[in-house]
Amino acid sequence: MKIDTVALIETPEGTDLHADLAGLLPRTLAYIIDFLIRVGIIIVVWVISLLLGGLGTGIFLIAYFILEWWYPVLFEVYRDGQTWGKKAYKIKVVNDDLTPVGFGPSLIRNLLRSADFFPLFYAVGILSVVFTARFQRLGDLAAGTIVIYSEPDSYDSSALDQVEAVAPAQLINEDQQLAFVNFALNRGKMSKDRQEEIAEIIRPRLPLNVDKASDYVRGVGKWLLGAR
Amino acid sequence: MQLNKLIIETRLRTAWSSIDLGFVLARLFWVRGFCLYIVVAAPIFALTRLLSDVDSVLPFFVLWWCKPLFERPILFFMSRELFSQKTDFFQTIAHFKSWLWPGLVWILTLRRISIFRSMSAPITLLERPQSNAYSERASVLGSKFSSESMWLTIVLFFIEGIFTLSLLALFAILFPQNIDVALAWFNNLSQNSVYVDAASIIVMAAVAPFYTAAGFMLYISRRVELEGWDIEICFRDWMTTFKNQPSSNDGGHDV
Repeated sequence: MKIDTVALIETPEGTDLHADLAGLLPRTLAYIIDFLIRVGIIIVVWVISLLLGGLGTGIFLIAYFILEWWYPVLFEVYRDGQTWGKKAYKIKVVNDDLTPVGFGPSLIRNLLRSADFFPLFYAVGILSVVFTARFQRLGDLAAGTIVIYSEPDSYDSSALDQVEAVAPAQLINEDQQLAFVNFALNRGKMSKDRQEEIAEIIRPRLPLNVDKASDYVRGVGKWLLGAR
Repeated sequence: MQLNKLIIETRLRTAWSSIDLGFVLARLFWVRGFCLYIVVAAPIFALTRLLSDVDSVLPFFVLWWCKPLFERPILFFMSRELFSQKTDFFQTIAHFKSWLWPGLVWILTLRRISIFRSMSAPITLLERPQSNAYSERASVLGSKFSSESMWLTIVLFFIEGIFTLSLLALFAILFPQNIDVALAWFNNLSQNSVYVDAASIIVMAAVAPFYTAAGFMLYISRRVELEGWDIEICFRDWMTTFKNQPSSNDGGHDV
């Protein structure tokens, strides 16, 4: 078993669901964005409350309470597991079976922030995220939630404009399809020689009339992406 | 380089996901990394104590400056373990010539100040290019992941600070005297720099495997992308299974 950062869920129907787990760095930075947003809002509310006198103090305290304890919960439940900070880093909270997070788990994981914060600046939370297999802080462990990347990496298909799509003559499995597609997209901008070298590896499997292996593999990649 | 021996799943990753993978790797090899860091840092620590008889920030600065040196044995054994080449604590020490000297002057001078240093350290140690080829190599590899490798340095820098303070607080609280002693001790941190430095070294050693491995995985992810490792591995695996079962159909030539 190779080392990876994937959450793999086997369903009773026999299909495997998987998602990329998000670790300490994006989560910390997303938290800092959320923190700054909350500080910004609370400063505005504070200024307004000063103008309102006694009533203002009450409003300020209620606003502080809501921002401190409900900001993440409301976002996670009603905005598909994403606070603004998480959205900025394209991560989201889900249950550990990859279903959308509900009110109960979200409330638990956010109330337990105080445990993760202990003794100062989330020291326990950091240790927990780093040393648990699925990057969970204590709140996540209690609530049964994980944080994953919300979107697959987008790709640029401009490299394929000049390529002619070729239908593969035989079934190829999912991993191999991905390899063909990645070869065609050529995200790393590999040199012609290197492309030829890699494509030649599967020469024994190519139709006999193929002249340049790299052109053929690229064509199949384009076909797999939907071009006909 | 035998790509089929890689212990990580090779696929195209985002920079954040590469850093996450580095953290998993660091978790696996944390104890070895921590011990190696301490072993290399301890003599320098002793040296800084001999050299300065007054309490100042200079010893701390020297230790902090030498961080790339302390991280090198970690990078060395991880680069071998990555390709299933078992390299334990003592073997790493025994191979000290392989990780101590190459580019040593560079990493302690010009390349020390780079905020992207976690990602460029493998270039200096493993590829060992000439100095004029280095900057080109660093920009080819680093261009895409530069922002993330910068944040890696910044976030882990602050985490080190947080944990150093936590460790000192713990140390102070656990002293048998009452809390006043601890508070007075905190107010006189500059007179207690030997403890601060010792605590810093321990925390640096604890964080270093994560920093090093994350930077290394940023580097590896870029190479996977630039050189098509993911495709090569998949194609080679395919051909291996194909050769093992040649009788499954007519014998080939029909993708």
